[in-house]
Amino acid sequence: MEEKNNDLNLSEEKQEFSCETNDNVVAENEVSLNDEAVNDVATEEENANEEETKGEKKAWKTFKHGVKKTGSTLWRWTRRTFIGASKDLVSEDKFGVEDIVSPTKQIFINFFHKPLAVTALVIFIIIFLFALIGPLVNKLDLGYNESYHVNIKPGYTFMNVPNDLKNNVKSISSFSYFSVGLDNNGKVYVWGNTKIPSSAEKTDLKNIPDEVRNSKVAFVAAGYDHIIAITESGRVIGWGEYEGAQYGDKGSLIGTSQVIAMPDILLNGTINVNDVAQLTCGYQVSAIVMKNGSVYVWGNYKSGATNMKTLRARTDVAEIQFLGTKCVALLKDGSVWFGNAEESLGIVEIAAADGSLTFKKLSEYQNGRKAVQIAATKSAVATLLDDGELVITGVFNTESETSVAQPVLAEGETVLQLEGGAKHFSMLTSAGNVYSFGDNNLKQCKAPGKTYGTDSKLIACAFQNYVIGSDSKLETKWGCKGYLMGTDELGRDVFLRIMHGGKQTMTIGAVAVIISTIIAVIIGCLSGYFGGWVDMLLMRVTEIFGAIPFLPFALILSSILAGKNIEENTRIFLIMVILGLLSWTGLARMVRGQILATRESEYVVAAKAMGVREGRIAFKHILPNVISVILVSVTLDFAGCMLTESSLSYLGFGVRLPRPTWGNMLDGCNSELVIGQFWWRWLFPAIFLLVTTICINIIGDSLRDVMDPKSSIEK
Amino acid sequence: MPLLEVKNLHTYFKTKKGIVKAVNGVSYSVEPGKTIGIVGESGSGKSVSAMSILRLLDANGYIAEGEILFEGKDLTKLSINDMYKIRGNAISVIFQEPMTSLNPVFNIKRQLSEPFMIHQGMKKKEAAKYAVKMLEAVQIPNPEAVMKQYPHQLSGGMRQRVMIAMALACRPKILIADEPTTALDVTIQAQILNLMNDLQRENGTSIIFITHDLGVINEMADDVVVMYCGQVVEKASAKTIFTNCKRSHPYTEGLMYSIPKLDSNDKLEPIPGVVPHPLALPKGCKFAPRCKYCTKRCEEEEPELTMVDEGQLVRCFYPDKEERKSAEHQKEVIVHF
Repeated sequence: MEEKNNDLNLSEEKQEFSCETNDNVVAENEVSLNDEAVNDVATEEENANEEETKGEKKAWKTFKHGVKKTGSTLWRWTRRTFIGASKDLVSEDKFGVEDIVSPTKQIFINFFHKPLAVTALVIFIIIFLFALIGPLVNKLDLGYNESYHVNIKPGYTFMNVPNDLKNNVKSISSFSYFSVGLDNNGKVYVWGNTKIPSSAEKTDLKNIPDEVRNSKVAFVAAGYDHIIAITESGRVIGWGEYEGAQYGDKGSLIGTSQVIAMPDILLNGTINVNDVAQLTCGYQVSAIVMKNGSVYVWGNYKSGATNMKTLRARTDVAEIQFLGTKCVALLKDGSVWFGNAEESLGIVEIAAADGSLTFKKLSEYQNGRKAVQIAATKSAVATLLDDGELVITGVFNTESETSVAQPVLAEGETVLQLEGGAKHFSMLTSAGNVYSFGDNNLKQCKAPGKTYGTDSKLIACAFQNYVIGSDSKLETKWGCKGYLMGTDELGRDVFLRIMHGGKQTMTIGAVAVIISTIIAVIIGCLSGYFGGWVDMLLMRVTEIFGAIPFLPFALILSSILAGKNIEENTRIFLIMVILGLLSWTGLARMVRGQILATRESEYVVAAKAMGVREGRIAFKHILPNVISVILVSVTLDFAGCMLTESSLSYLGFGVRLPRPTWGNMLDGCNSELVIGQFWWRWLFPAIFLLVTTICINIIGDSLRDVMDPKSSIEK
Repeated sequence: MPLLEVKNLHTYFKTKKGIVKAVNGVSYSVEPGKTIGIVGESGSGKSVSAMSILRLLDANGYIAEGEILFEGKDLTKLSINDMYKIRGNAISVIFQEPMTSLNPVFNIKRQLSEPFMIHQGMKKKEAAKYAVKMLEAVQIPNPEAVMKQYPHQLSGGMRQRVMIAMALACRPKILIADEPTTALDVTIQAQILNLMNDLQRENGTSIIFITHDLGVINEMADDVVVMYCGQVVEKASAKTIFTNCKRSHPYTEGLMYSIPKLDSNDKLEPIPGVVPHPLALPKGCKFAPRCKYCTKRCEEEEPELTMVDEGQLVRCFYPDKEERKSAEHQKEVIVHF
């Protein structure tokens, strides 16, 4: 108490100088002192009287102590790792005796005592395994592209059917990257990648026009970049892109020979909804089939369906299907109409028993049998005949690694419903099985092996499939959910390409480093150990190689190779060799320097006196002494080679498209559009490249630290 | 017949300032099973003369003249491949610095197995067996454990024992010990010297013992060669030098006075001055500038190595101790210091 009072006096004296009334302060201090005293007494009383609360208090104290300890440990760790403070000895360490271990083991121990290094190592291993094992599991089809999924942004939204719709589905339709659904109450739902990537006006299909929102809708269908809906009152309304006369009369192509304008009756009048048999949309084109067999077609037919124009006059149409650039129609008499596309779409390929192929027109092949259903992918048409045969015409490939073959149905099993996606067909059979076959790159053929009621409704969208039960409930769905890291300008999955690109980049980096290290070690050893004219000659050669400007030289070599029409694999191997041949000089000098220093040491003289031969001394006695330098340099060079490969590929002189590497995936960065709008196309490969190289560099740096006894781990 | 005979050896080093004559006409011979001690200050050419035997000179060094006859073969004329067979096999070396003469990245097993593998073509496992035996021979306790250790885990004495084990691995005929105990403390020094004596007795190895420590020479050597400025100034049996003999070279005398003695109260009497620069050697006797008996003749003429007694050769005009201390001689003496 006395001491405190002294302090108080001192503070009084000080405050006198500040010419203020310090009475208040003194008073306050006195009060607080009194309070403390009171508190002390109070706590004593508490301790004496309330035994129960004591236990609680103790627990709280222990907990507080624990938190404090954890906190201080964390703080110490952070300080040591990032700020570089010295290690505080905890009491156990003070008297601990350090075991003597071999240098290699010591290096390991030291390395694993560095949290940063271990973190970097773990991240690197994860990325390494991702690039090593990933490609084995997920195959990459180099020729693959998907024009309907160009520049899709990251996200898994394609199959997010709204909850309100799930139990009350009337129809679902999708032609590209967004889907539109209609429930039995006539309400329209839109999901998926609803912002059109190529749109100049950033059109969002979620902005359903008020007219559609406020009225009951009878039909809705999605095209490539537009949606058409028919309300119960017979109004035909479209939204989305309109430049190609998809709907309305405002498109820039209206009035040209490119397009068929929307018929006036649809534009301004109404049609009887009860007479409408089908509404379907394609690539900027749309068609309405009436029950009496007449059709309304409109849109950008030059791009969407070049044979569409002649369909307008027909009055016997039952169903229309849009393909990539054509349309086909099922006529009421059971024949299939191809327009001018019969040559490409309507020819049946018949394989005889001896393997020879004969070709027949579908109408001839039908031979009186009637077509019951048709379905279309981008380039093929499937026709179901009334005797149960399924005929596929056009281009439909099921033989690649990433596709599913057409299933063989069991005896007596017939196809009830046939549906076509962009690259696959789906069908529901009389046994309740659902099958999908065709291209499976986007998992659109991963049909569940379950059975469903034969009165279910199967809907195959471009890349998704839905099974709707008889009670309008969504039973199941499969297909493309979206893309984790988006897609590029050809609709290829960026994530998949990063996986495969990583393998390519790391392989090139590793092989190049191995080549360069071997050269550098041999040259450095010979030069450093033998000295004299050998050293002179080899160092001049090293200087010559070192003086070659890397990028121009690589570009020249690469362009020479390009003219030689070499196979891509050979080319990649040559790139590794070029990288290796051009990057050994630094390490060679370093090895030489180290060996020059080691050569004069006594143990080398001792080894000579032992009768050890020169070569053996150089490579077996001296080299192990400089191995740490080499190891560190190899690690750092690995990152360097990966970066060089990437820059070469980025410039278009390394590995070429379509083969992915992290470097050539960045080539889109040249365009302002890509940098600004399609950030996922360059950001993800760049992040992978960045993280990998930083991790490798941290590993290399830490290795150097732990191998060099002079840079002590405990600062 | 001597085992090794060094005849009129001249080892020179080319430098930018001129040719350094590090060894200038040295001759001595090593008898089988005997120890010859080479004594001299730093820079007197004693190590270079020994290293010349194995032709382990630096890149700018060369043997200009002379013969080194080992079992009748002239080592200076052997091909490098034949030299590999001699090094570490017939003639081996123990170096001064046990701390740095072992390769830090190899464990003892690997270091010690190497001579067996190189010279006797043994496989790793067999060589390791012999290596353990060698460690036992040099009295290292727990040799199995030491085999797995690295040089930095061993003490200086242990390392020197390992070095000796390596040198003796192939039972060489000659062991060149280049100041093997200089870096060790006295007790360890005595242990190592005893060990070397024991091993010599067992194997009949000849030892060329290079040192500047006359006490060690007294312990070890049968014959002594005293070198100064690349020349032999005195050659005699150890007995002759260390008993109160009548004749000796003033340098040898100086060296003897420089040994600290526990049993006398006399002050240590060092040899004044320093060894002359090898490129600026005096004209007459090389020791003349530091010699307290130096006369005008000494500065102008160079004395020859002459037989002064049975088995004692001295390079001095005044080998008789009494005579050069006499008042008559003192008149002629030129005083430098």
